[in-house]
Amino acid sequence: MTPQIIIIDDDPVSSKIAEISILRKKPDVRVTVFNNPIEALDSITTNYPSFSQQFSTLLLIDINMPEMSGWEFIESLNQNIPALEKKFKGIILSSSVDPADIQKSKEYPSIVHYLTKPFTLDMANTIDQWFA
Amino acid sequence: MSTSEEKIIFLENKIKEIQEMQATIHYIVMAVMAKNTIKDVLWEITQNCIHRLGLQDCVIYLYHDEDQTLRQFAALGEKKADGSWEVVNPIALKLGQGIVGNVALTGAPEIISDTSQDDRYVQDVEGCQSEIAIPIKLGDKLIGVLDSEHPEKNFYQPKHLEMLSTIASLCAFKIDSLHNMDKLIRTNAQLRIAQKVAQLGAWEYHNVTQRIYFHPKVEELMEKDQSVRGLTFEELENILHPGDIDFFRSSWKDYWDTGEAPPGYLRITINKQERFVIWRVADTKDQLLKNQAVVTGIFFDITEIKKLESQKDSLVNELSKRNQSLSQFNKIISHNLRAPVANMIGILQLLDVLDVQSPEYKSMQNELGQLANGIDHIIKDLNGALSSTTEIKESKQKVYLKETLLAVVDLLHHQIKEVKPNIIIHTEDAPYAFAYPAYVHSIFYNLLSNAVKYRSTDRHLEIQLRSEMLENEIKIQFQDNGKGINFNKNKDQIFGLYKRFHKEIEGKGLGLFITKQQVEFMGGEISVLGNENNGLEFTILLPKS
Repeated sequence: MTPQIIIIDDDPVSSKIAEISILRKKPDVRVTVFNNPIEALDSITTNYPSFSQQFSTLLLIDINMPEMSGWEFIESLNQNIPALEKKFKGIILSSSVDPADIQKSKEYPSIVHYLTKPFTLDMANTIDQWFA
Repeated sequence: MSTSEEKIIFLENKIKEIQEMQATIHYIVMAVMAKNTIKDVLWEITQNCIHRLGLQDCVIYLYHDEDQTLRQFAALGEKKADGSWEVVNPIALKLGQGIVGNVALTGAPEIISDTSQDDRYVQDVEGCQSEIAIPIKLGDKLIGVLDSEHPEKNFYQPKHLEMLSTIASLCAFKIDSLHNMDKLIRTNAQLRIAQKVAQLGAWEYHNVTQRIYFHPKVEELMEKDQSVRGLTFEELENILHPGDIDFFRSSWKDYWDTGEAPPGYLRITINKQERFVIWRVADTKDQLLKNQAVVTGIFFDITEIKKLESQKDSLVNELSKRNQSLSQFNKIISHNLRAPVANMIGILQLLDVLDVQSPEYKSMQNELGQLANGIDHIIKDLNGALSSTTEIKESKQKVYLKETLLAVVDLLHHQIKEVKPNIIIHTEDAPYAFAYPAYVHSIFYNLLSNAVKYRSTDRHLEIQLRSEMLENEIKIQFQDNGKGINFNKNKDQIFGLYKRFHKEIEGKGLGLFITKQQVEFMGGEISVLGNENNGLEFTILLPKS
């Protein structure tokens, strides 16, 4: 299955940095960027049956977004997609260094890791370990 | 050879003797009753026993329960040094020791006709051969022993026993009442000191006069007839807070119905000052108070304590608000300043690996400049907005709304000189708010600069400031005709930390967040109304005082 990374981050600069970094180190990975979590939610919910057939999917999720926080996004996705953690893995990618946020990320079974911005080339190098 | 004449002489002598005894007793009773201290009473008795009863020696021992010892206290005869009121070398006897100790133990008086024949005898005065000892008792309570010795054997007769027993009873009664008086005076003095230290007051209600008497005398502080002591119920209720009269009456009724009443708070206005008082009625289960024609209780003025408590509360409140502000400031720094810095680091790393000619390189380079500018803006914003938050040294005062807004317009004239907004001010109904001037200034600064930043491109910017007096609050409304916000998505987030609704403008969302903090710090509320493309109307409610 083709590896796929979906970036959900309202900040276009930050998501661009992640996208360029991943493509530079892992050119085989399909990268999709959503700058609006609500659009991301709609799109992923609609497409996940075909996604799960074709792709091995990893989500990169920001926390502080105006339309919907990263936590709300994960919870909505959990409601929309039964047994989400078996289908997708998620990684938090946030500028927050608040220990409370890092702790909170551990409460979600589908979230496997917490990365602090910026997304680096080193992170891109080791990102494949998180594909299911 | 007893003739009838001799009998008559004998009887006459006897009558004379009895009359003399009566006169002596009467004299001693009167003399002793006039004395007010135990010392005076005892010395009076010993003196009279010598002079009036023809004794050579008279000693009174007082019993001390603490160590069960009898100690010589007053004496006349050999034991008294001339002119002084002290006993020379006072003897102390344990209970049961010597004749005195035995009499004290058995409670029965004794005449010893020949002391040399009695092995209990403890010599006090040299050369005495007979002794009489009378216990001084009140009921079963031993007070002391009255004792006399004489150089001749067989000196003491039944008449001595009779007279000295009478004197001992009198002595017991008098000493006991003086003891009680002493105790009462001491207790009273202790009570007064305790009341003063604890700021406790006492009151008494007298059935006969139907008045309540206070100590300390609160009525002296009141505008009432000072020649009559105490307060009637009506007078007391007149100075009570109307909300407390029901409690006062019901506690009084409870007292008469059940013998006790619950303690409670009363607000009493004395000398034009409202005071908080804990009011307590002593319950009649206390045996001492049973069958008294008075009702008594205490009051405790806690006005100062209440004042300190409320000062402490408001200090704690203020500190916790400041702490909250600080923690919010911390969040601003860690979340919102960190995001663009992280982006800069990310871009710098990519610039190292990207082809200088590629479009990505150009776009990233461009972003880098914008991020640097953005960070600069945030820091300037923080500086401007928080400099007023951190320094609140002055207290709340009248802040004139119109003048404050005009000062802000003046301050922002660079930003608004091209926009030339139409500013309409209606603050006649409520020209000022009771607030921190620096906060109101900062709030207007943020609202006005937001209005200018997010003005509509379709119409000329118009800003309205209105104020209105409500029952407990002053309502301040700040309205613009700018772009507004889509509330379906963003209603709860407009005052949130670092939200941006108009991405094309270098907004930071910080202003409204700080505005909300400042309004709440002054005990007020802020809310917003409006639709997308229809402008915004902010409503601020501030407490009147």
